[in-house]
Amino acid sequence: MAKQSGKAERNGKKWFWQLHHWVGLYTGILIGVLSLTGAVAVFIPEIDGLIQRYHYNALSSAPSNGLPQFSKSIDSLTRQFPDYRSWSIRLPHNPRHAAVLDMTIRPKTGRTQRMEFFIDIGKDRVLGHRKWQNSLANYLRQIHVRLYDGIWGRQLVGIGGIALAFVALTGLLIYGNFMKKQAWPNFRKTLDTRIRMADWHKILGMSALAFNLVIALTGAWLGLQPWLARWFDISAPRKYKSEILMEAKDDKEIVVDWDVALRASHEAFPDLKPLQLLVSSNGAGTITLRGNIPGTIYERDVNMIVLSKIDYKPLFKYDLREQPISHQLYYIQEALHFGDFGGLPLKVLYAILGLTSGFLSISGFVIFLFRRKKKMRKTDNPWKAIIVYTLLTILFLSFIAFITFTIGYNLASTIAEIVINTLLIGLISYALVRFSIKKFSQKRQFTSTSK
Amino acid sequence: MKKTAKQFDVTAEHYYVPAALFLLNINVVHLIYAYATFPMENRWEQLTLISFAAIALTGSIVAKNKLCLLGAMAFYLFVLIAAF
Repeated sequence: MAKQSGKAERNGKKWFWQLHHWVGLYTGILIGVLSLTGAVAVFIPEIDGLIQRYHYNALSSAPSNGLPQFSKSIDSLTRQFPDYRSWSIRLPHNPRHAAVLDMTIRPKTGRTQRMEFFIDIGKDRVLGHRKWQNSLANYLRQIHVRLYDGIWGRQLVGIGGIALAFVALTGLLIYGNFMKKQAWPNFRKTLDTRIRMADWHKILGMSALAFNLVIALTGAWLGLQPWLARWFDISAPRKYKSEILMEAKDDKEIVVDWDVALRASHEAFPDLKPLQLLVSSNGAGTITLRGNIPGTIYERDVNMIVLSKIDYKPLFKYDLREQPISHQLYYIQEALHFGDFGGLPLKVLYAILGLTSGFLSISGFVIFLFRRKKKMRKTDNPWKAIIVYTLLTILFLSFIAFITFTIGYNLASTIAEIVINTLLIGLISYALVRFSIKKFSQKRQFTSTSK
Repeated sequence: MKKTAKQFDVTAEHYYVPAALFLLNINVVHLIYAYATFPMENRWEQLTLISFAAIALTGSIVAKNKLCLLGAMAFYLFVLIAAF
């Protein structure tokens, strides 16, 4: 009986190893890319802050009354671009930084454009502008969130999250078997590359397991959200539907007194730190102030208050602390995924631990290639394949960035879609052909031996 | 005198150490979060308990003593649950 259960356990562990091996091999490159881009993506606000400061010289002076001033700038920009569809203003975390007016412009001829204007909130003047889509901040976000593939890149990233969770869990289940008499964190004394890499793989994998699981599960949720929302009829819990009270043209013409709006918001929702301000342009006659409550672990700008444009009275308040646990669970995912709740030290930790999954995918590939070399008695150097794959990945990421900054997001996204989907079809076809050949040769072997 | 081989405790090495490392991952993130929000929240007790849990978990992983590992894990789990 004991012998049988031992055999079953061994078979189970072999199965887990097979799953760890094949899932890791086929999704390793995706996990590696997501690890690298994710480690940079956690610093997007900081990187963008530096670009605004040093490239665009966008710095603010101190406001005379303590409240940010931007009414005149907004007025001049809305007159300059009367074809605008909507706009919102993002207030800076640091009062020395500029506010950013995000305006969607739909010209009579040509495509809709999203422009960003930097505003000095002390002197209330426009300092510069850029096209949002072609910015480095957008590149870093889009390459991590959807691999620049608008067709189904986001879902592909979600599948990468599931794969990472899968290899992390199967890795945990086979850990004991592979460590045998080896203690954590000891390395075996050998010059064999495969064994050295295997030691690093096991020790680092186990040391960052919880972190990688959190990243994997939250990433899977965020990536697969469009599908999950459709299948399980899930919608964003923060809902506010405003009534249309006037003509859109009249709504656009109402001048907002931002000092009064900010004071009214503070009075009705004192803990809210407003960071994003929006005004209606569809006839609803509302001002929306979104922001954070310091010290809470939720995605950015999820708390909100809606004021009337006419009398500045609160129409709707969304304080996530007062919402059911399902709302809190929904809005905690992004903060947990990007480490956006413990300042710069936590982001540094996230970047370091985030890179471990990239290292694990490379070390796993090294182990695979060196083992195959030994098994098949091959003479070629496995490092060549590893260096070629790594360089091609870096080249692809750099090329997409170059196209974004020089020509534009749309062309870069089209190229990325073609490359990613061709590679994906190639990989799936290769796996299917390999599997069919193996099955066919096994069947032939079986029939020839039975004859 | 012949040196005896160091005792290898399979349960501690294969189960307790990975579990403690798992909790240490969460603890380090929790600790940084507690330090970052301390100026706003001013919760001395919580910060002290999380810091102590970090020391206990790290120490028990280094010592690899089953009782220490279990104690440190139980202590941090208690702190974590109490924090919510």
